[in-house]
Amino acid sequence: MSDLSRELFTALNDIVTARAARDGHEAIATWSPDLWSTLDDQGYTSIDPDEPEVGLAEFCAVATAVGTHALGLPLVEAGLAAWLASAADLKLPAGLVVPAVSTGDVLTVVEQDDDGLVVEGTLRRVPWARHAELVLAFVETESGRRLVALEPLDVTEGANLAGEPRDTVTVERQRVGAAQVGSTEGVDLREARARGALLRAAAAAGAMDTIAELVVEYAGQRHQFGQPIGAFQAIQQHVVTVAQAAAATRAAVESTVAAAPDHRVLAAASAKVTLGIQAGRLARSAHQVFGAIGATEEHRLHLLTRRLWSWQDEYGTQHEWSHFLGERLVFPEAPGLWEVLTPPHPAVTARGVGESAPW
Amino acid sequence: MRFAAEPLTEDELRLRDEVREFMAQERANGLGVGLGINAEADMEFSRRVAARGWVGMTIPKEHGGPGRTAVERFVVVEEMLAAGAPISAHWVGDRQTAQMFVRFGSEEHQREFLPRIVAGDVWFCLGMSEPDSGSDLASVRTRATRTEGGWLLNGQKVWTSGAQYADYVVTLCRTSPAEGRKHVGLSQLLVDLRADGVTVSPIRLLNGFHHFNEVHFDDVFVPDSMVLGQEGDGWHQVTSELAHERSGPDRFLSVMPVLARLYEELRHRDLPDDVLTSLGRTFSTYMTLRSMSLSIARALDRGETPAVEAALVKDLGTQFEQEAIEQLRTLVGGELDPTAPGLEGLLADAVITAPTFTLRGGTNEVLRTVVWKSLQRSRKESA
Repeated sequence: MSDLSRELFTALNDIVTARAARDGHEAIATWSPDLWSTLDDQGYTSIDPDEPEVGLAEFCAVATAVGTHALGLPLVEAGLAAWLASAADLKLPAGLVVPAVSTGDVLTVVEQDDDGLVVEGTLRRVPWARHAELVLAFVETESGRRLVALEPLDVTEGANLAGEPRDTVTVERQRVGAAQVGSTEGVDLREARARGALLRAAAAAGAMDTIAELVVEYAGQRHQFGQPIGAFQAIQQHVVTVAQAAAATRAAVESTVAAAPDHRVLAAASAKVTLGIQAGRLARSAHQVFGAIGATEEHRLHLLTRRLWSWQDEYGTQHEWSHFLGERLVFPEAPGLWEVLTPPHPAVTARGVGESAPW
Repeated sequence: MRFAAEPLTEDELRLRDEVREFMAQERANGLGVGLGINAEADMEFSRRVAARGWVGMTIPKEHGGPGRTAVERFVVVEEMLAAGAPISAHWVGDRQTAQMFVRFGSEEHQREFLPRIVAGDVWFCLGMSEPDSGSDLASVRTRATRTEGGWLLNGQKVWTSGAQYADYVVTLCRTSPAEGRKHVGLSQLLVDLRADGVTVSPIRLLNGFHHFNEVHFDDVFVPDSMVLGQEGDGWHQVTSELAHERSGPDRFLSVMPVLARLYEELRHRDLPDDVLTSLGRTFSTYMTLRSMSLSIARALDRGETPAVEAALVKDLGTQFEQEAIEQLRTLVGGELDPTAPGLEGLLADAVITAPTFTLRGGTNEVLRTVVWKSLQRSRKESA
């Protein structure tokens, strides 16, 4: 972790911890214009990917802080949108901009002229679209896919398993001015989704760490049969499963951050699959330790586990990214299995498993 | 618990390529493929590895070693394991005993043994478990009593890998009464396996493989000079090496040679989506485990002792190996013949020995208790 990412995490963590202490964990897990504007004032919603010291580690640090507190605000989305816009050379106005890339939906062009495009299509599962000024989406044009920024005019509200806004934006013959169309040199959809997947894994690692803390504390305090339940080996197995899952997910995230840009999409895919494998193990064991109380609305645990159940599927499911890894790493000219699993290797790089627009 | 990721440096990658070339040459010369540390010992191979400077790599220069890092050792070991190299002969000396001598050994021991480990000239095995001491290792009953100029050793060890060819068995035994505290009064003795009163007999594994032995000590004389480090320091010595024992690539790469063989067949085929997905999932876990294991090697190089992290990696890694074998069985499909050459025979061996993967190095269930205690401790400290 870089110094800046540590500072970012600590500072954000302090603000949100104080807010949670004042208003409760439930309150910060849902949209709060007041907290959003506080974070906005302090610059957390507009971290500039073009600043030389800002990179993947910084955005992952923000995501981890969001996960640690089950913070119900689109900080991760604002960061991902800023990076996409910067990579596609799009100038964004102030206000919340969110990416519409999680499901891989792509808009189509109905008309094209010198002034811009007229586009249409449906963008599903767009995070916080109802609060956004603009959404960023890919559109299929004659000259390849372009990123466009458009106003969400027709929004149907939806939610993920944690109740976070995941809206459908219906686009009907909407004009997008030339200034709102990104360059062709930007990122591709796969890369954008890999970035989203990594940030979800980073956030999940934060949530998992919090769950691990809660579980260790509870197992040490809750008494049954005359002793702390943590004295029972059966409970110890569950507690350690939780700690293990958190450690594995965090390791996969950190390994992606440290990976060479040439192999970063590959590493991000691996991190997302790791999240998919570990989220369920962790959630089941954590709920088992807490018993019935952990499955109530008043208990904090569900704010975290429900996010894990959702985040593991957003920006590509475990299944989808596993398939990507299989498809990219099994090929006739491969030098051998071990060689493809331990990049760098030019044969793997040639398979397009890197990023074109580094953070 | 942190597993900071630091990828291999340019120099480390160069070392990796050297090992790959070496292994390619060995294969071209007819070296067989085995399953990780279960592979048959091959002293000649171990000497060739030693001749390259890849045994006892972390032994400091002042002790006659190459003075390389834990990560450099990691690089060599993972390449060898992935290639299914027969590393058993030098394994114990390289992974554990050398560290013991460096940290606890007398000057005489360091002078005598360390250069020989590096040269591939001495093999060690570990005398830990006993018929009544498995996971509860501190309850060992093998006992050494004082005699003129040394100790008389009596007792029995089991699951002693490699005692049939090793020169010395590093024997954990009681040298003074426990007096209510069983971790006290234990020592490690270096026992010459050819000494009078030592009997080695095989314990054959369920596949007929001769890997383990039982070792009987019947009034074996062990000179004072063969006590490792301080008398009574045995428990501390044993537990301080756990990070070395548990975190390494041997905890998740046993199955790699089998998977790699299957891969050689699959990569030329047009595979259905479910097979690609299943493989991709396995690849992902390999990448994550490798990153965790590498981060422990980095921590060792920083002088840390990440024993708890190591226990976690051992647990995750060995569970994964078992899952990977299940996956291989599904992919290969059909009945397996253990006498078949190549992939099928290797897989057959892996299937029936896989349940032992979560035993060796401390059963996973007991390791979880170790991790639990550490989590509780750090919670209390931070509170």
